[in-house]
Amino acid sequence: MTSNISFFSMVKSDLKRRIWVTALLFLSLFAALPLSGMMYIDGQASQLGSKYITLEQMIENLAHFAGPTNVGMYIIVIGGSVLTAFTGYAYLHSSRKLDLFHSLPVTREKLFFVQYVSGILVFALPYAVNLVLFLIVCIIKTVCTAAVLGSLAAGVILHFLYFLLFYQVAIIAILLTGRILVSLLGLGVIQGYAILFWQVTLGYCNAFFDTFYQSQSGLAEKIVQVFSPFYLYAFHTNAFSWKELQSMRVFAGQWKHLLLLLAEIILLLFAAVMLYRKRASEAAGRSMAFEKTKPVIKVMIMILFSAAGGLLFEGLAEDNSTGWLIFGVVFIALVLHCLIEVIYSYEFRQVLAHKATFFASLAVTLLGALAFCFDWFGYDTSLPQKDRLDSIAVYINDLEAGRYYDGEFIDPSEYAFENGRMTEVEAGYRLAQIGVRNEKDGLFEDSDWSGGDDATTVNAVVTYYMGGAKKTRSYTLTGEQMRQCLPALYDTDEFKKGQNTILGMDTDSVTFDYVNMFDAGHSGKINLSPENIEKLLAAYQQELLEASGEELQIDKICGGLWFGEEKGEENSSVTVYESFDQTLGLLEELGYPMKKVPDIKDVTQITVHNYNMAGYQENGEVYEDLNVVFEDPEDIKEILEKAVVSDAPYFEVEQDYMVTVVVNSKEGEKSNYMELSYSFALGEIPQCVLDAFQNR
Amino acid sequence: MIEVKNVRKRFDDIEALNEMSTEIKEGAVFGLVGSNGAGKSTFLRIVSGILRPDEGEVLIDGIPVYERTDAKQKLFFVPDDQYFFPNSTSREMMEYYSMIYPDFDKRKFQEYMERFGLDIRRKISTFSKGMKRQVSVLLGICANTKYMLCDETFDGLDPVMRQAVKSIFVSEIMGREFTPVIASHNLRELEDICDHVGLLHKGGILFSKDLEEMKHNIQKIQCVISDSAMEEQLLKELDILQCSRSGSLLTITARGTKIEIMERVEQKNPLFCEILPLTLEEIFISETEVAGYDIKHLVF
Repeated sequence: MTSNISFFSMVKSDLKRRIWVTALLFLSLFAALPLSGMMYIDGQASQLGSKYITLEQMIENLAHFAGPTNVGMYIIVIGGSVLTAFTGYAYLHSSRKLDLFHSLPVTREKLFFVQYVSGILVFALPYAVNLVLFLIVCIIKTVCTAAVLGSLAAGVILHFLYFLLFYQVAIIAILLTGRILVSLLGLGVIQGYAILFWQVTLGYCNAFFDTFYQSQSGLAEKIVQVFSPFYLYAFHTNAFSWKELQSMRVFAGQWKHLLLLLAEIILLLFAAVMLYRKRASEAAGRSMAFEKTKPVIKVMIMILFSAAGGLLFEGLAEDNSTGWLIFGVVFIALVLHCLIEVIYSYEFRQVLAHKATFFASLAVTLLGALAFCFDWFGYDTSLPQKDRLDSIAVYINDLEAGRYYDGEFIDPSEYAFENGRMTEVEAGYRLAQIGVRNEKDGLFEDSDWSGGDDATTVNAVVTYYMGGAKKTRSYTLTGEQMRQCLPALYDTDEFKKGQNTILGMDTDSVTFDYVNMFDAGHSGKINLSPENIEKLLAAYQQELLEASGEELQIDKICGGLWFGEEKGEENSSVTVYESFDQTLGLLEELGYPMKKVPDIKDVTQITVHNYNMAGYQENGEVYEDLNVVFEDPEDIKEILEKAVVSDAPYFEVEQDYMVTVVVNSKEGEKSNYMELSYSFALGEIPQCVLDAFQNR
Repeated sequence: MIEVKNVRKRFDDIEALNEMSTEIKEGAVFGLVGSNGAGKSTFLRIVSGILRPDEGEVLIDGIPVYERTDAKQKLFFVPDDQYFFPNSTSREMMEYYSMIYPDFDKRKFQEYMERFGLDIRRKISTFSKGMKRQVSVLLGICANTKYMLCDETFDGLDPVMRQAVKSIFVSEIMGREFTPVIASHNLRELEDICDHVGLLHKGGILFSKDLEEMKHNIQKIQCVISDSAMEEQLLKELDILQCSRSGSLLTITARGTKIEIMERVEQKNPLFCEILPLTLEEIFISETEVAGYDIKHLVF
């Protein structure tokens, strides 16, 4: 049966009673938008004409100010949502107020929506007025451009949607509880639970799993991305940061997140209506409105927070012992149990009530913590069966994976997992087997491990794809082990494509505007036409794809190229090897011969440093420096012939030597000289260097 | 008619109402008596649709009350501690209730407020407890609902105001369909206004009877009988609920109609005989004693 009482009359009546909240929000929004906006524009305008700022930059800055990342708006949206929710629904915590509202001939749904709509208007009305005022300011100051309007619109949409999200979370916190203080605590728990869950999970994985790799697509990350309003808000708005000139484009690119946000808003609204209907009036004044939620919430809080406590104590203790981990879990669980029971009952004598939930939570947390601690499930040492793998992707730190931007930074490892899935799993699986064996043997746990002749370690991240599932592990291999694995890996096209973002660049879709060259003679932009840039890119891609693993392993680096777009959307840096004849030939043809080492005539001196003889300390500090300076042209020639660029980890170099070549500057350059760093290939130390150090 | 059928309500481990059933007929003033914690407020909150009974149902003119606006439109609940909006005046509360209750009579409210000497423009928060109580009762009366549920309404009113409110109740009953239900822990407050009284004890209605019917069946007489044998015979013949003697003056409370009892007394040639009016308290004492309870433990 519906009531004939006007819904809007009731909303209007409620708005009148909450006029102080509207006024408070109006003032805050006035300070954040038109007032700050005017001050900001004036400040920027006063610098116009100087070398520091152009009109375009000023517009961009204003678009940033008006856009989704306005810090003032974060505070107002979050604070305003909590304030409107509590002023709208706090009557549920008072039996006196409930006697009035629930005795009225109005259904509970209608009462809920009266408060709901009224709360939204309490925020939306002053927001709308201040947006108009802000626009008037922009018009008066003649900076009301499409970019500013677009950014403002994106900000309005996002802030309003997140206002709804935070507002509904606060309403749910109120509905689940019967006291204001408990509601606030509950709100804190709801808002922060996913983030704490994420951090605790990460903390345990980092503390106890050697092969843990923090991925953007892990379970804990997915949970926090879906369930944490704070994370979502920050993540969503940050996508616009300094891209406000293309706000609508960024907005369109965020459609998946927007859909998720809308779905969450609708689900939370539905949940809130259901809770409101089910909530008994007598819940007012009790800590928790629903008896059944008490043990569930208690257990959820206890498990997460006591797990965090265990981690905290384990971390604080100098010996990182399991005993402290257990102590932390038990101690925090006990404190929380007492605290929650007192909050639930508002009766200190109930401090030890409901022991079953305490022991259940404690048991679950302890088992979980110890499972992490002793790796009961073989996280570090289990290797999927080879025949179950659909594909495998390997990302190796320090290999020449250029960074790739498409409006936002793409993690090179994520890029490798996405683009480097090898269906021929043998090469990747072999690397993983070595990594697991190292783990089982505890190769790197021994503090005395020095690696013998080869002290380098290389980190390789492997993602296994099995059916719809995937798992990622980070293995540590010695340099030698890595050198054994790399040729086979590099002979797989998918691996190369995953490691080298340049191979994913399609000349039809990407138009690079410029190329920077880095070698012994250049460090900056080279003047190439668009057609030549395209040719150079095609030549490099072809040579990289065709190069075998074995070739690359012994090949020497000649220099580097940087393909970039003027607007900075996309770029990629690549390494050029001595065997890349087409690329080097084309560069030479275009007037930019790439040189591994400088011309002898330009070199004034070479300093060779020997770490081994200098008493290199473990903590990285060199206490006794041992350098030999070579100035004789013959020596310089001999050294330059053997000098190699030592960026590639799989290229074996003499670890003990560092070669610094001092080159005379050309005319017109600011500095008088330039320094270049090299190493020597393994077993190829020039005789003059050997002699020089032998005489020491 | 308000029908309460087997209503049960628990608050944690406290049984507030236990299989409670009763009927409240239209056009009469229903008094609900019970000690503190007997379940009066719970009863009224369930009847007004604030609380949902765990079991059983409450029908208002045949319509279940919980979440039914057509049933709740017939009710106005005046709690013992009425909530007024912060900083509101009586006029603002009047406006609010007139929005909710379509038959709210603003003119009548203003008249009553004037008659009670209450300033309609004054903030309610500046009123005394009694004045607030008056405002809430007047709001309830002027809502023009068929049923008005009052929880300890007369508590806090001075005798003059109490009488004035009672007279308003009477005039409303005379003028329109109006059935007040008044809950109180004090029998004396209900004495001269209720037509029907229910005694609530430990979450159940101990009994619920028409006051006139109760008065019709219980009499209090004072008499002097010179012949002690006759006196003894009279005491045996009467269904005595209470008997006291002061010298030769006997004061008897006995069950039966006035004619039956007077007939028996007259047969014993009394020197003096008179029927005395019974207070509600005395009737209750008598009734509850019959039911095996001591009313003093139940109400006072």
